[in-house]
Amino acid sequence: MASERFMIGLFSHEDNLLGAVRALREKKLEITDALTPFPVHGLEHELGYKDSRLHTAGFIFGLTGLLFALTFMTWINTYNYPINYGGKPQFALPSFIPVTFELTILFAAVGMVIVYCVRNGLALGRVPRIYDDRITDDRFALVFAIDEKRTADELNAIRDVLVEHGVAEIKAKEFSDDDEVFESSTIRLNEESK
Amino acid sequence: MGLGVLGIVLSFVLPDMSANHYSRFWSNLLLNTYYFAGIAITGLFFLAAHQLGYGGWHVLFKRVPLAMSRYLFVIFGLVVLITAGLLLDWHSLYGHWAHPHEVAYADSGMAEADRIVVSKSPFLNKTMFAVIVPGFFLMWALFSTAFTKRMTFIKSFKEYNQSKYLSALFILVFAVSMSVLSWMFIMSLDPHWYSTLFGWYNFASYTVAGFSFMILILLYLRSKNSYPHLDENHLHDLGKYLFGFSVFYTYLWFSQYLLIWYANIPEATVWYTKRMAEPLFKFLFFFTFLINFPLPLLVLMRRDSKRKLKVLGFVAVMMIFGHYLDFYGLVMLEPNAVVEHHDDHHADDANHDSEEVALLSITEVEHSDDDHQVEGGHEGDHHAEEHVDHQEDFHGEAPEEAMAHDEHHEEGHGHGDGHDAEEPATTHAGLGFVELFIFLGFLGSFLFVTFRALDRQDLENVEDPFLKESKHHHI
Repeated sequence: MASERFMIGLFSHEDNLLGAVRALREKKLEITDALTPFPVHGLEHELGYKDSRLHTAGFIFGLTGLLFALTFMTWINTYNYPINYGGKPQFALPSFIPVTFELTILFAAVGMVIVYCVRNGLALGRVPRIYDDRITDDRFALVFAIDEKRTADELNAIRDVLVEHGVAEIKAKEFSDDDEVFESSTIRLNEESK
Repeated sequence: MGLGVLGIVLSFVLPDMSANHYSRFWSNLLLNTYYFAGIAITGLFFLAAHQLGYGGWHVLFKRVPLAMSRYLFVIFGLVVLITAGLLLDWHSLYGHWAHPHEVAYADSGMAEADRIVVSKSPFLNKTMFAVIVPGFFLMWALFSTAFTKRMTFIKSFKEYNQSKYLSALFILVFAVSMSVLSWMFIMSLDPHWYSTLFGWYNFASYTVAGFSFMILILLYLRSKNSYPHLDENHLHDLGKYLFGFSVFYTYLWFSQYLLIWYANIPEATVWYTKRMAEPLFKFLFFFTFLINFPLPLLVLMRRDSKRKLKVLGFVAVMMIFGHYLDFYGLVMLEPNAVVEHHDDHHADDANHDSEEVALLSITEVEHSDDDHQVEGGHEGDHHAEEHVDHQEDFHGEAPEEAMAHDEHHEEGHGHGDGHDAEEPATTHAGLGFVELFIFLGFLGSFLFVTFRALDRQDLENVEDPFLKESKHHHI
């Protein structure tokens, strides 16, 4: 049975987390994920994340909505079911604009929500992986995947950096395929650092 | 700056030689006065909105919008000049309603349109104009002084909170006065026509131009190292304003058009029909739309392009010209209209010294069957049907017909030097060196006043409680 293992470093202060991230990036140690109870200013920059491509998806969805609205209304009004409204031309572009505008926004908004949910693993029926109960409360977590790419030396180096930057707790966690979760080991460190 | 001063001089010399009845000079003066008044007042609006919205990021360059608003005093002087011109008959900008003998025609059954003017006369008369227009501009100018005194050097949170009262008062006064001014100052050029969102439309238009100027001035100061802490984060936010207000402008532009187009009321559509009948204005109508909406929408939509200062500066320059042309379309057609006996809808037009021609046109109106919607609101039933037919080809047929109707039609391009009163043309309005020089003159004097106001004190207020936040603005 396949399973994934993670090493999780929990910090009690965001500055410690930022310092650790900086040090880890300097040593080219890969960080799988960072989880914080609130948006930490500059964290995505420190993690080296590129700009989200969500707005590109939004643009494409909006364009789809725009073309859909225009072609659909044109098709109805000029070909499928033409009705004379107050002597207006059949292809009455100005009166199409509000509907086009609304559909553009609808498509863009709904499309972006769906893309966002799928990309972030929030799709319906999916059981979320909870690395630690306290990351929605007062803990700042750095997550490192333990897989065949990661050597034992690397893990030790990561552990050293975390300890150096005042990590409160380091633990390992394993998620199996049927979403059964078990914790393996927990190392409690200086709990009251800051 | 030297070029600007030269432009002023040229602009005052050139029109004297070229324009008809000086209407070209006066209408240009009106156009630029209104345009730059809007740009200057945008500075105050920007500050008041941020002060009320607990904004702190703009504190770093707060003196730039303040300095821009100092130009309102020059504007006030020009407005007094225009008002004096109205009272003393120096110009016929507001000829539709300002000259009593034209109103008198209403009783002779000439046109329903004039009855509209009569019905508006309790509001739209010289006394009201002389009180309201200079009064409101003076109020704006005094607000500029009050803002400069209260907001230039805020040293404590107490002073900051006090300035909120001033901001709130300004927003209230501005909301009312900018609407009333737009009716009285600009919409009254064609008093037969009215649009209920004209004030907002004007506001959105000159606010875009105002933000463009703010961006360009900041880019200039940044290139001179006057603002070491000003970076692309601040300009990114201003770029967002530019983007947002461009969309807002288009929303109002289109709302006005859609309602008029859909309702198909003769006295409302006349405004567009007149412009469609003029090649220059027809071109401007679509051209300004293209510049003012698709360009900022597509260029500024990306985050990167708002942070690339060259791209942002380019868009800002385009916006300044785009919205100048937008106001050109609003202002220039009516004052430069020519009285003609074979062009019906201009029969009741501006030039008060051509009574005879106007009288001729009365007989024309009675015999003419072609006076579709441009006559304004008085068609019988058979006219109304015909009116629908004409409306159906709003973009296509109507202007061509109007042109065929007027064979001696002139485009009004170029310098305008060759125009005589005898030559039949529906409008003398043109885009030439006269317009360019007057615009440059205003631009030069605007920049002169702004930079002189900036020079007076330090650009940054080191004691402002929000300065630190503003310096570390990061998005």
